[in-house]
Amino acid sequence: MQTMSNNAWVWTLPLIAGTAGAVALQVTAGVGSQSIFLAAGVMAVAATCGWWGAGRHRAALNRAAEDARSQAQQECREAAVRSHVEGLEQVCDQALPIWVKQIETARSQTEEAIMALSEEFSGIVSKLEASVVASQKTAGGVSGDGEGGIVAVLAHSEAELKAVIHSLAEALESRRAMVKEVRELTGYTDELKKMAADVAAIASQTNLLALNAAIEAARAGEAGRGFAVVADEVRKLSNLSSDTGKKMADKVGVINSAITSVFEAAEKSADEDVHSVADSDAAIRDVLSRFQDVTGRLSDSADLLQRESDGIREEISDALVHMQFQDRMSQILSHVCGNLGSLHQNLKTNQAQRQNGQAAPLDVAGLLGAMERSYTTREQRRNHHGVAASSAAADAEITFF
Amino acid sequence: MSKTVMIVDDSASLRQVVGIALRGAGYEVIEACDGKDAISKLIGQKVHLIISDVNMPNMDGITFVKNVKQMPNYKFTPVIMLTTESQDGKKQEGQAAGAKAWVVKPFQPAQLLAAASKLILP
Repeated sequence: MQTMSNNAWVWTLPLIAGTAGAVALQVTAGVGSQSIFLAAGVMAVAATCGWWGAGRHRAALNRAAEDARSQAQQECREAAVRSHVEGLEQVCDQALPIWVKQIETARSQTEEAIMALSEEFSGIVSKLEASVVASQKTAGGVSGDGEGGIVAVLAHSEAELKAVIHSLAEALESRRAMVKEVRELTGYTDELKKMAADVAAIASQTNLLALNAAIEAARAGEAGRGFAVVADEVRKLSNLSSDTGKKMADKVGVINSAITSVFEAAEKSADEDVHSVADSDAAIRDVLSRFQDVTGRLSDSADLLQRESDGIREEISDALVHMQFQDRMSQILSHVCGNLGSLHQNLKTNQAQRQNGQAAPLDVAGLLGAMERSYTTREQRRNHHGVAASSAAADAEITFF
Repeated sequence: MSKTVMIVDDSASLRQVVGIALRGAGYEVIEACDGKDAISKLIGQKVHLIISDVNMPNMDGITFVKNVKQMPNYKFTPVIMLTTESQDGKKQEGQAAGAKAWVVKPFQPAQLLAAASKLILP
């Protein structure tokens, strides 16, 4: 309405001035065709001025309205941005410490889990080692040369049992020698028999001689009486000799049969002993062989256990390498936490400065630089510069100074 | 007689991992959680090798190595730096402090054990 009335004034004022001019012209110059023409001209000029002025005024008004509108929009946008920034700051103020806590919780939980895991691995390695040691102690070492082990016990037992068999064989041999000597005695009894027969033959001839002497003594009569007594005594002695020869033959027979029966018994016993020693030897060898078989298997199991243990140890060693990821991850997360904390601090400082009316732009380059300086791993630096992070394992390296 | 190795790292899990690898190879192991703790534990001990992290609270690895080299009993004790840090500048700092080797984590246990047996003085 105001614009409209202002605009009407812009129109009406030149028009009034023109009309006044025309009227003044008529009054001063008098009504005539020339003055009317001039008055009309003045009116036309006044109308044109009015039209032009109104146009300019309208344009100025439009521009002012446009400016006012855009200023209002700008203010509106700024207010929206301000409220957005303030909202963002509030979110950051509250969320940053929460993120830090969340990351810290995740980090510590992973650390605890890895600790427990590595402790369990450590326990497995210790138990495995204890089992291998116990098994090798029992089996007497994989190579079988350990002391006190089953292999050593087997070797010792084998040696002792072989010594027992050897003594049995020696005892058998000495009995054989004895039996041989007994057999040789039977040869002496034959000689004794022959000697007894000789004694009997001598007695018989002596008896015959004594008989002839008695006949010759009888023929000599009184002169041969003393000789007849001698002949009779000789005959008696020959009879005694004959009896002794017979007794000797009898005794030799008894001795011979006793020796023969002893010899037979000894020979039978020796045969039995030979069988018995052979049986013992076979039994001992059988037991030892079975024992050796068991020991061999035990030793093989100990060997297998040792190899398996070595394999498991290697696998655990590989697992240990992989478990180190937690340390790297923990470091990276600690740096993220530290950097979030420093961003939080920066935002708070910035906010405080702004509230005090100081212009305080965030030092983005400074913040990013501090972040980069805090890195320790290669992948952190690569991530920071937007390069694809390499695998952590590829970093493994050793430098000697 | 088995040799004694000290592990200095603020990460308990890493100390444990290194400990398992070393104990498995027959070494005695002493653990410390930072440079300061390690210095106090070295006194009155006979340690044949030190394996230390670089970034640690209280006393970092480089300062720790410098301090160790000032201790009469440990002047010649070899030190291996075991760290995620792989920048040449840091390695040079380690070398200047007196470290004998720089191992970047994650380490291969066999590699670390080879370095240990190479550096431990007879």
